[in-house]
Amino acid sequence: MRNFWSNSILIRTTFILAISAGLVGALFIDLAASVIADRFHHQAYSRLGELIDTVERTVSIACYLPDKPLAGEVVQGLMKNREIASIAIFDAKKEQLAGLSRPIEHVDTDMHGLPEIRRPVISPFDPDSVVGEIVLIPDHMEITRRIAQNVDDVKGLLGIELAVLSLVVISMIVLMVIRPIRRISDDLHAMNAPAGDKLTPPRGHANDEIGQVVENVNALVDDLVCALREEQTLRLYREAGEKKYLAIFDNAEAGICLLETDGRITSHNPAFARMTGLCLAPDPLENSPSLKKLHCRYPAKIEAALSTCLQTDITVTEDIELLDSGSDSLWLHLILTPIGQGLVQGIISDITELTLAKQAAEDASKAKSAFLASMSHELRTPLNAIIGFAQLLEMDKLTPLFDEQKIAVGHIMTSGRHLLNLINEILDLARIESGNLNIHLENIELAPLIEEAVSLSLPSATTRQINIRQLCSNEIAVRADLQRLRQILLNLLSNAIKYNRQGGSVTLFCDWVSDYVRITVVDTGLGIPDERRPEMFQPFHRLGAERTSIEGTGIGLVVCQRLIKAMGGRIGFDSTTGVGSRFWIELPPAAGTREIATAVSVAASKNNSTKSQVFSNRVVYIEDNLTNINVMKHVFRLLPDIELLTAKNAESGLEMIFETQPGLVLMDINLPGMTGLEAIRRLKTHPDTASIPVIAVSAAAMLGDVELGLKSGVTSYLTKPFDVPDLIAQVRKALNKTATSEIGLI
Amino acid sequence: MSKILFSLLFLLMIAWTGSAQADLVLIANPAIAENTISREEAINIYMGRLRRFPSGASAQPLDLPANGTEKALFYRLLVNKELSDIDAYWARLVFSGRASPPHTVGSLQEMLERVAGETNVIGYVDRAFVDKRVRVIMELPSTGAR
Repeated sequence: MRNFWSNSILIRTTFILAISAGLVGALFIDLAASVIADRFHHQAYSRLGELIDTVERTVSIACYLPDKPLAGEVVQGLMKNREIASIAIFDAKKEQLAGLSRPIEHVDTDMHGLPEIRRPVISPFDPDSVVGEIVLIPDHMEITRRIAQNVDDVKGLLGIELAVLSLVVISMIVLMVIRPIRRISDDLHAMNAPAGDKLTPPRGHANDEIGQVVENVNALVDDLVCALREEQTLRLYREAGEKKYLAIFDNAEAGICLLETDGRITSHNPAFARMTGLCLAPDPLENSPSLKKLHCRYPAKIEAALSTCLQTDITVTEDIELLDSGSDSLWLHLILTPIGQGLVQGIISDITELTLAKQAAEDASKAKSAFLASMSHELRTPLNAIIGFAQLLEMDKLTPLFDEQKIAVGHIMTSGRHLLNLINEILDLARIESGNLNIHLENIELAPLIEEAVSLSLPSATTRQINIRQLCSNEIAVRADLQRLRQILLNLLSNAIKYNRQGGSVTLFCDWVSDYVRITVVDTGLGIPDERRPEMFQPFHRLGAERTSIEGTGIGLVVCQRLIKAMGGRIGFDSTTGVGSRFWIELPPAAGTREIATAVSVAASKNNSTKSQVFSNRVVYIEDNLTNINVMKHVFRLLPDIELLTAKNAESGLEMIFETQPGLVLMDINLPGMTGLEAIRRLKTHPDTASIPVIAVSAAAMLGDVELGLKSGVTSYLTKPFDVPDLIAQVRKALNKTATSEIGLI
Repeated sequence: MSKILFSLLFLLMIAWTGSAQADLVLIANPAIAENTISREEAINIYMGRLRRFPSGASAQPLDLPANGTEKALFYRLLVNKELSDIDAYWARLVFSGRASPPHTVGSLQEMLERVAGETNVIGYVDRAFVDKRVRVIMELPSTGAR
């Protein structure tokens, strides 16, 4: 019933119509009945009043006379009216002239009788005198009956009207709503939307609500079909994409896997299984393999990488070493990428060959460095003897040389120095190329450094009568490595002097170029032809200078270029043939707040060799090489006031030092047995010997060696072959200092 | 000429008004006890309600024929009704038979004779006709008519 009810508009409409028609009918009838009754009563009274009016004159006469028969006639006449229940006519003395009553049929229903009509009767001749009264009681029963009849009539008419209206409404609903909707519903069932079918509105409903519904349905169908097509296209794309991905996944060289957050592998490709040996169990109930179960050297690394990846939500890479494939371990590069929903994609690639190659390369590089270090040592040791003895020969005042011999010794010294330079520069270049270049960037004030470089270059400039002008202001500071910058400046200056013409000039100035400090060195040399520009920064290219008498290795500019690059600067030049060249370097300016390291001027002090006379005159020299000892002994012949003691190894040397308490120790570093560094450490830790200055004299000229030596507490570090005047100066300085401090103590 | 016509018309008008304004009087035999009766009593007698003198003696009203002017004048002066009303009044009473309209005499002269000859009648005449044989028991001056 319920179903039936809710399924049919017709039934619902009929029901509601019936109920509302009934209610409205009942209400209306009720209202109508009361109105009709009211009206009818009113009308009945006025009718009765009019009736009395018509007989008034006669009654008046009857009462006037008084005439009972006439009154009786009137009463009888009036009683013909069925609405009158009883009537009586009284004369002036209240005596009844005539009266009639209808027999009462049912008294009990007439509980409240209708009010009677009393009308005084006026005399026919005197309007002021009352001659009687007429009393009329309306017949309530009759009136009620008539009212009921009227109401029944209205009721019947209304019922018929409502019924006809309801029928019309129902048939309209059937014709104009239900039938078209059924038709649309059937059409909808039969419609093939993807094929482009459309609903047509039922005839005559194109523009009404049903037509709108049809339009809306059509629009909806269009949208749905569009969406469906898009969906299909997307699905095709997605399927193609998935196929592509699967093809990549299955055939990739790299191993690809999907991981849960706890490292369990949910899927992987064949390459992954091949590399790791892990395999997904066909039965999903079994424990799936975990990435953490890989047998590698540092399993914690995988876990750390995975947790980092999950926490930071970014791609994490890690190299791991698998141990389980026989004797050789397998190196894998692991890339973990979070892909959302608690999943991580892992990609591993085999980098075993790469890692091995890298290791081999590193080994080779180490070997090269070691080779260079030892070569440097091996080459420098004989050079020390060559240059040292040549200097001694030249300086020997006891047996002065002949002029020809002097020239020969000069050649030996020049060639030796050239060779030393060459070795140094080759070493530098090798060091730079092996990446072992150590750059310590600091803020450097330019002016003192340039002063120093200029003063160091002055002697060679003076010999060629070249004028050096320095135009650097004080305030400019750059960020660079002090030693390296000095080296570059010296190199540029020496080039500017070497390739200048006799009596030419060299100008040095600094300025700002955009964000960089540019140091420019201008010479008045031959200039560089444009076609040779590309060769400028190639090693061992000297642009034809190799056929001239000008000394050079063809490495200097290359070293400069590499160093400048390493410090974050630039180098360049421009040149006009026959007028000169302009070389410039650009460096980043000093970072504002940092303390500016002033380049400690170590400009060669040439005039302090004879001034200080008070010094402890005993020096211990520890050296295993006999040639070197001989060189040193010859040097100390030039210092007759100083006693030189020598020891052949560190152990005996230390004994000697404790016994003799010398004013200075000269220490070779590469010694048999205890090394020089160890000996220095012992000296510096012992209270008796801690104050004795130590000068390291070593052929180990690699930067690392020098640093080590300086760290161990030596006063200065001389590399073999040493410069004899320099050695003498340092010895005197050290002894002088010791003496001064001793005097102070006394 | 016109003056003569105008004065003639004036005289005619005087004469007519004089006759129209003529007073009617109720007359009875001088032998009756009352000298006068009230208007009320006169109406009662003429309209059939109580045909007695206040003394109790019978009093039969006499009426004139409707063709003269006196009857209409009389009822107008007495009850202020037209003759048609009076006819309708009596027509209603015909059926009951309880009362009857006054007896009609042929002329004023006859009326005068009857009243002079009988003691239980009452009549009305123009004042000008009244003589010693009848008694005027009520005057109906035309100016007093309502």
